Amino acid sequence: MLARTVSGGLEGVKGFLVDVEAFLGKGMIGFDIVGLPSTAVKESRDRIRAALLNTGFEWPMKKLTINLAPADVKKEGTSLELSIAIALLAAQNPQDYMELDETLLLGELTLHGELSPVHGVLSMVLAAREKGIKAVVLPMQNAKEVQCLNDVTIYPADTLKQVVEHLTWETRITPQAQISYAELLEAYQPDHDLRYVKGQQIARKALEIAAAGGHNLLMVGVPGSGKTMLARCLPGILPPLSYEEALETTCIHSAAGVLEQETGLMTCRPFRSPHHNASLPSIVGGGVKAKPGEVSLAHNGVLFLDELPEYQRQTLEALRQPLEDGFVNVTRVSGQARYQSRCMLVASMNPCPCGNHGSKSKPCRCKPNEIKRYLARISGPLLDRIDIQVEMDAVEIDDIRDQKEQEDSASVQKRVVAARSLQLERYKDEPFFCNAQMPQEGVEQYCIMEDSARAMLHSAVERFHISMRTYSRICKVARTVADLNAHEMIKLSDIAEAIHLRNLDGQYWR
Amino acid sequence: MTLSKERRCLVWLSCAEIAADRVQKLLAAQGSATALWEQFGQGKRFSKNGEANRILTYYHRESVLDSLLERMEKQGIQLLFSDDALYPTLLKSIDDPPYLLYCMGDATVLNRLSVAVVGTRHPSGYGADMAKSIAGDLSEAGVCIVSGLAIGIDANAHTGALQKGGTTVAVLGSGLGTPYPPENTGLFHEILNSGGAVITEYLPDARPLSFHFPHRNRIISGLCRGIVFVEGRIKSGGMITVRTALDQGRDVFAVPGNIGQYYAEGPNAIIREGAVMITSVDDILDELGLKKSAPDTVQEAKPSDPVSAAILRALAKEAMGMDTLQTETGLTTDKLIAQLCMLEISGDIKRESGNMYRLTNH
Repeated sequence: MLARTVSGGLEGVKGFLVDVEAFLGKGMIGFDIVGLPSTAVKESRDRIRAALLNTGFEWPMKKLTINLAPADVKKEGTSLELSIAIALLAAQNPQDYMELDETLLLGELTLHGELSPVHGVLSMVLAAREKGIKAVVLPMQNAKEVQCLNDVTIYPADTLKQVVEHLTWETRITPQAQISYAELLEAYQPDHDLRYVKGQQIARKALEIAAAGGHNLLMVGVPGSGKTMLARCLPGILPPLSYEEALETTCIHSAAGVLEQETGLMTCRPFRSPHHNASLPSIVGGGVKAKPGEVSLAHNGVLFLDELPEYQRQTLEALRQPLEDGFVNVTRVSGQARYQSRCMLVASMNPCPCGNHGSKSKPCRCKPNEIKRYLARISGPLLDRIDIQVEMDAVEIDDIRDQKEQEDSASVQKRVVAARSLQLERYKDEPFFCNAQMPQEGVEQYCIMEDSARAMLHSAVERFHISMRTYSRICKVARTVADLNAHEMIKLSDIAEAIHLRNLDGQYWR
Repeated sequence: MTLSKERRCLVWLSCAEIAADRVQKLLAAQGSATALWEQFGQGKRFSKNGEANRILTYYHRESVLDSLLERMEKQGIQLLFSDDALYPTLLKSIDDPPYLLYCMGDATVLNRLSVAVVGTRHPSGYGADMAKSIAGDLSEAGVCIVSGLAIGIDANAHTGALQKGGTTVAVLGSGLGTPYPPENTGLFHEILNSGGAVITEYLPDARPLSFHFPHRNRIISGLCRGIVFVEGRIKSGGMITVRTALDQGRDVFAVPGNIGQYYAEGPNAIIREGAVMITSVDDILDELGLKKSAPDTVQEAKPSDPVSAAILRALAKEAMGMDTLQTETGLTTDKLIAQLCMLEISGDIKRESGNMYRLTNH
């Protein structure tokens, strides 16, 4: 009267395997789950009983014990229910069930005996693959998430009955057809295209350079100048998500329960735009269960903070470390997790509280000290992490009405990809892989300029009172511009462009 | 500071910040400030304003008045009464001249030929530059520049004069001990150190109350032969100064702006009403009967390469943004950005908020 099945649990975004053992013994009739189950897992007892009865099985009138091993890790979520149900059935007729040790069972049960989707499927399947498990049975709705995994056979099921028939070899479920990642990627179309952004030549250029070098970007401009629209185009011009990146990002989204089931494996870089009243834990991660925050959900993608000065100061300051290190350690009483957070920060803000500073047609009614206070909400250390700071053009309707077709995202992306591959080649022996992550030593080693370019930079330093820190920031951006133009050394025109996209320190933050 | 009884009583009166014309009437009715002091002591009140009476009561003690005068002496504040030789002659001729001016710096500059440069606190880059260059050029012609020490056009006018080594006078709407706005405290000291003067009709620790400023504006125009209105809306402090200048029979000059730009509303409106439109500082010097400075024959060597020249030619028409510049010059974005940056570093053009590029007038 013993059986064992394999299921999975989640710790942070990492999956781990859970051995589910069922024992039907003599004694007082009852049903116990041991092995540190959470409330949700304990509640599943009633669902499992109803699902079994409604599928047409008998409920064994015995003392039922379920053990979840490893017994010292808390089991969250509902992904274990299918495996518990199967373990109970297999314990009654062990001879009928085959390959239970080699099949990962995931899924939540309904009272009707159907399977419901669960969070974090990808992480658990990846963990199972590492342990050599070759077959996975999971709810139909979760199937798309794992459709690109080779060397694992996926059996998507709708009901408990199907799973039982599959495992007893009565009627096998047709395994899911595998799609190669490249195929999936081809079908991807960005939601926003640069073609529809009118005017804003400088900001467009800034966006391209930011994408090419992985630089953080700040856009300052009057309301309605197209800051948000430009930012939304960014995922479409960043290099396509690689397979490994797609797995990483999908794992985080799946574990956090924000993955869209229709899309399954993510082929598009995430674009997260939390509202400015977001709390600190929701941005960097935390909460009772140490969940991943927005900065982790934006991993390999874009974190867009609209109206930057409206965010709480401590929230912005807390972003500094994750942006710098590319990961965040979230520690809570209930556990500790490390989430990756390598994302591009794109921020936008108005030039002053009323928003009209610099507008041609509308007067700005802000007092200088109000503007100063508004700008001071963004701390120097945070500004230092934003390589490109650009002001939007003051666009009037008349200026843009009859304009020729703008360049589309695809052609910009081509240049960005070319620039990125130059960087990958250059930094292949380094711990970083794009210009934005270059440390100070790297600036001296890799940002080699022609003499005329250096002379220009030096005269700019004098004219615009550029600080040392800004100086190296300009060098990094110039490196990216040179990469975009396929220049080995930074030329005069490259450095000029970089200076032009210099931080607005001189104009706004003194 | 030893003062005659009459003068002490005038200082006492000025503490209450009663409007100058009202004080003139009181003095005419009662004969002298001393008489007012005596009558106040006997319980007669001249104002229905409780606050003014409270202040007058407070200072109606010789000891308090003494310590006030002592404090002012320590701070280096001079008192200019309307019968003083140093009291600006032009100011005497207006309808309601201040009977008492508090002054720091060199009081003799108040009698020099002066022109006021006034305008908005939120100028465009063009307006700020014009204020600076007009003030600078007038200074070079030996004219003293008067303004109100406010941010924006005022500050630019003072700075322009100081940069060209000229003298400049600031007329405050607050006390000399608490110059307003605090941002311009540095400028305040610069004016004093450069041999200029700062004056006001309020006590040293008077706060910058909103009603002070329109009153202050009559002193600005009163001190000067003419005023230059650079930028401002129809309803603005600059327009108040224009009105007072017209009442006082001063020349009014205006820097024209583009129609439809809100900061050009004021100057354009007064040009329509007959103010002198200025296209260069010579227009002001002509009107004031001053000699024209010798024309600059040395032209700056303009950049020789055709791309820069094309950009500069386009910008000579008006300030424009990237998109317009691109249509005008037909350059690619990359090239244009690089070229603009070089021109910006060389100081030929200037980038303003909203990414508008403008020729600098140097």
